[in-house]
Amino acid sequence: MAELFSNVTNITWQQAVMCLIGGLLIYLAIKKGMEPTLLLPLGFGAILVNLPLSGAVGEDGVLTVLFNAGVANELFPHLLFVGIGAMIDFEPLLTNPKLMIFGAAAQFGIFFTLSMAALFGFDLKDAASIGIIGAADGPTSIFVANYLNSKYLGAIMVAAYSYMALVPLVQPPVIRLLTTKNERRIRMRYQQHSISKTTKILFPIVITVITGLVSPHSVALVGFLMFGNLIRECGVLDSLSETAQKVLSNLVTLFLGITIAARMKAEDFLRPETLLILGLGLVAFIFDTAGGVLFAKLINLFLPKDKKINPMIGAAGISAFPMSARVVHKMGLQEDPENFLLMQSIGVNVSGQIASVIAGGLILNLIG
Amino acid sequence: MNFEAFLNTLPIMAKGMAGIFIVTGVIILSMVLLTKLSAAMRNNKDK
Repeated sequence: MAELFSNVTNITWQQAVMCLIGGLLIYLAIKKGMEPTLLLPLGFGAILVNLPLSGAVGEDGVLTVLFNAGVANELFPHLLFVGIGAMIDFEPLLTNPKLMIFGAAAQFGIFFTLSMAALFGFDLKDAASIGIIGAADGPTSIFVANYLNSKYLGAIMVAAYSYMALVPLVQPPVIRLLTTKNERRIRMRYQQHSISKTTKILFPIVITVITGLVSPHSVALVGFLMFGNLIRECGVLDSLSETAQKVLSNLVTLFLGITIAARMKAEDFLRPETLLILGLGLVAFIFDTAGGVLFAKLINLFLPKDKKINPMIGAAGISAFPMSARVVHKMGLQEDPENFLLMQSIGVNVSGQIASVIAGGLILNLIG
Repeated sequence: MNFEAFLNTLPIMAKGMAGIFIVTGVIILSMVLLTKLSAAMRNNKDK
């Protein structure tokens, strides 16, 4: 009998804490609805790998095998991007391409956080991996952190997905702090143009070519995102598009969270740096939001009175899709029940999706 | 606190942000061209 329970005595307090953290992630996923598709597998995985002498990790452990097969070689993020690309309708962006500039401005948090992480003593590659939390885009964060071989992958993933779920709590105070009531009430006319099928088909191809030429490190991610979108828009692969949107995305997501948990072993995760990374992740989201809003305010200085932009839409430039667009739309309605900013903010939000991948590629160009 | 490392990252921040704005600018231009071209082609077809 004593032999049967001998492993119980092997549990360390660090492993017990990690199991509690796993339980907390599962609680947040189920009870609070925070990114359940990722946080629940991540939480369960955290428990799985932190049981003493866990056979799930180690040289032949199933999570190690999955990690090497799907994360270490960046396969899972790419496959997930096919599904995401198939889900996104770029029409609001094609209707008003100029909105894309806000997607670029809202990547400021990535680079600001990179500098802050360096200030706090992280080496350049780890600082860049932490900065990429500001991409507000799980696959890009995994891709960059893994490419740069960061030892903080687990903490970075937890921070990235947690803050994405917390966008409705993180963004509004920052937006309110940086805008006046009058600015938040600015109405923007949305003119719906019909976008031809040819344009919708050429769009993913053109984006892939441009990004590939300028930022070759990110061409695989952008290419898979745009491949998914091409399947969606071509009109002859509806069945594949549906599979990419549902079955493929679900299948990859199912394994992604639990596989990332392989990097949540107590000895890797329970360090003071983890707390610092969680804090820096918040900084990244705050400065992304600030970058977008302040850039919109800057543009407004040069626009005539009747063409002013509601600066809140700049905040939707962070990639967290579609939460960020919804936050901006909701805040617009709170200030003025007849101010509908949804289409403009969706346009900015999908451009943030592209810009975050470009930012990831640029980081790899500059540092990798 | 490592101020030297912080200062060393500032050029990366500048290059990174400049890079994003340049790529985005090129994408915007090509999207505008794409939309105009396909509209012109549609008009020609209609005629």
